[in-house]
Amino acid sequence: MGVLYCLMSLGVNFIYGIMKVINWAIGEFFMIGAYVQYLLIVFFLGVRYWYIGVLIAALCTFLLGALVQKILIKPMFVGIIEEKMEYATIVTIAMAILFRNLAIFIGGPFIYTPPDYAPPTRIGPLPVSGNNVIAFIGTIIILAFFFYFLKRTWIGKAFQAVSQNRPGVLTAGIDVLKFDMIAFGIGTALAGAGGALLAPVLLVYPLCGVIPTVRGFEIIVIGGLGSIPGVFVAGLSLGIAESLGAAFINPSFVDIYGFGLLMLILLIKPYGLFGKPERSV
Amino acid sequence: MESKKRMLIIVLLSGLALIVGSAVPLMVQAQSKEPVKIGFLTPLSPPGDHASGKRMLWGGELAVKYVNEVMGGVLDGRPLKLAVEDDQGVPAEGVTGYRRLVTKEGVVAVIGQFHSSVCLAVNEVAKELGVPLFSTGASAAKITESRYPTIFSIMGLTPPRAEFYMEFAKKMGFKRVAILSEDTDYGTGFDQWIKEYGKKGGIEVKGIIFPRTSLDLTPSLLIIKAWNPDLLINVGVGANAYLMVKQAFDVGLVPKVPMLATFDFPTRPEYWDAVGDKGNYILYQVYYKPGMPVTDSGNWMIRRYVELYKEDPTFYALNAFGQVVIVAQAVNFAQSAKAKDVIMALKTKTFTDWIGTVKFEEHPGMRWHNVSPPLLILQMTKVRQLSKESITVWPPSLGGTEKILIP
Repeated sequence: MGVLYCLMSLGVNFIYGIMKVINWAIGEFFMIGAYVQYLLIVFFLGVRYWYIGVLIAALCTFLLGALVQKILIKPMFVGIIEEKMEYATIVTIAMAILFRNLAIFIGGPFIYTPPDYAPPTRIGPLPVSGNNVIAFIGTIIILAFFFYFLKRTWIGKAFQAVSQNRPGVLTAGIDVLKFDMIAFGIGTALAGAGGALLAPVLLVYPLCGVIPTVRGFEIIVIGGLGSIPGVFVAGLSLGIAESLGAAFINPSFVDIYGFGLLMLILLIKPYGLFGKPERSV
Repeated sequence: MESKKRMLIIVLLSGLALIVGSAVPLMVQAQSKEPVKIGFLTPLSPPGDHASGKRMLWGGELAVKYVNEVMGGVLDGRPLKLAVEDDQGVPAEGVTGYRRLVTKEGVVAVIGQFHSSVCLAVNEVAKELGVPLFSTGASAAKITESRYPTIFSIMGLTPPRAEFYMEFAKKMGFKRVAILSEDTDYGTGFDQWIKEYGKKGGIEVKGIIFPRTSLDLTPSLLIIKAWNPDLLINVGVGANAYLMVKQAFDVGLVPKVPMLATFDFPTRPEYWDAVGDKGNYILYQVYYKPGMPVTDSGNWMIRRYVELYKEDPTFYALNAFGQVVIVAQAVNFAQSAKAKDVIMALKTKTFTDWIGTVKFEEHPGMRWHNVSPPLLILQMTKVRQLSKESITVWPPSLGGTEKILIP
């Protein structure tokens, strides 16, 4: 399951890498992605075109994220606000509460799920949900595309530059504020795509993004804040730790195994597996 | 001149007397029309089971309508009103909500408790503040075992329900029963009592408790599958109850091994939206099957509920309705809207709710102020089947077929 939460972590990490703010409402973008996917599959596309639903859900959350950034986050980069992180924390937490309550108001207290993307299958002797397999493959594909986009394209390289030296990039004539908006949109789109992929696995309801958010932040801390390869390795490690702990020790304490791994990593590498200490003047 | 002055004073005084005289009855009337408030404390948002809470509130709202329109209000025409608080299924929120209802709203009783953990916490505050608290869906034995004068319950308690399930399992010839429970008072209570009655009945029981927030029950379900049980008891509430159904199907456990849900969540239309075809053949325990004989007030409620919400009422909605009606009757018996007098009436009088007569006896142990409705086990045998069309499996005394359908 750990890998399935990677898109959430990647979304948070990417936004943090560019803007140095944490989007605490990432779980709500995950939830919105799941709702959009449910509506698309049940009322418009049908389950055959679930992958188109994932793309549309990602697009919707991208647009919403970009809009939120433009209206709520951008002003702090334009005006003279010293404590940007605190400002962003308050704004994104308020946004999370707003989105959650809007979901209760619009969707009611009910739990929904789109039809299965694939029937149950087997991996060797192990029976597994076809939805989990699809979500796993989908996550890997999105991660690969994202990695390619970041490393191989001009715009990806520009994002790396913004992440490394904002004033330098600004002097080179790049509109950093526009990149912030796109980065925020991409981050939320990753979460939205995660929500859409996992909609039949985790069900669709107003709080469906909360646990993936907790897991997502666990992955970030294990992998290292700002590290993209760290996200994948940490997600995989978390999933393995939880599954092995549940199978060989006791399934009642499944949450503890993940936190145990997190503490162990922090003891050995305080900045996470791939994290680097930050220097600021 | 003098007489003119006296005349003027007399006229003025008479006018004043007329104004005051006519104003007093109006004031008295206005005062007498002041509503009597009943508190409704239930989960209306997550992490509580807000789908249950919402339906209970629908039942409570209909009861207020029934009391005001059919019973003519309470205390000679005073209207009844609901004051609603959301406990979110969180004990701390429940305690805050109860305090607010009692101290700010001045309610005569609080209805709508659904989660055992919340009800247990609120029960302590109710004892302190002295306003009756009704368990509408909370079944932990510790609630009524407290023997507090303020606690009243119309609900099947966990130990007799566990005994009922194991009796059913024994009659079905099951040798091994697995129970997967969430880590709440509700879940752990079932885990404990199922094991206890399993031991007494010679049935092997494997219990696993999972965190309430868990989204992946696959490891636990695989362990259970490897153990090869004859029956799996689903003690989840809210999202995890649905997740268990889906994931148990995905690992190939159900429907080959029958799953028994401990309450009526499969009767909700959204059950099928959440689990699809995977939810078929589920067994579920209820206290009411649509079509059962009910009282006049029950018929009134069911008719309007179906008209308004286009579904059959759940037991919890009916129970909330019945409890509001009972409190209204208690207020009338007591001829007072004071909590102390209402408690006295609740303890001593007999009431009529949606299904029959209710008397809160001071029994020893967990049966204190508790009225337990009859238990039934039904089975869904078609996708999107209505509750009234599902098969009654157990007990035979209530028309149970004693046969479980397995595809």
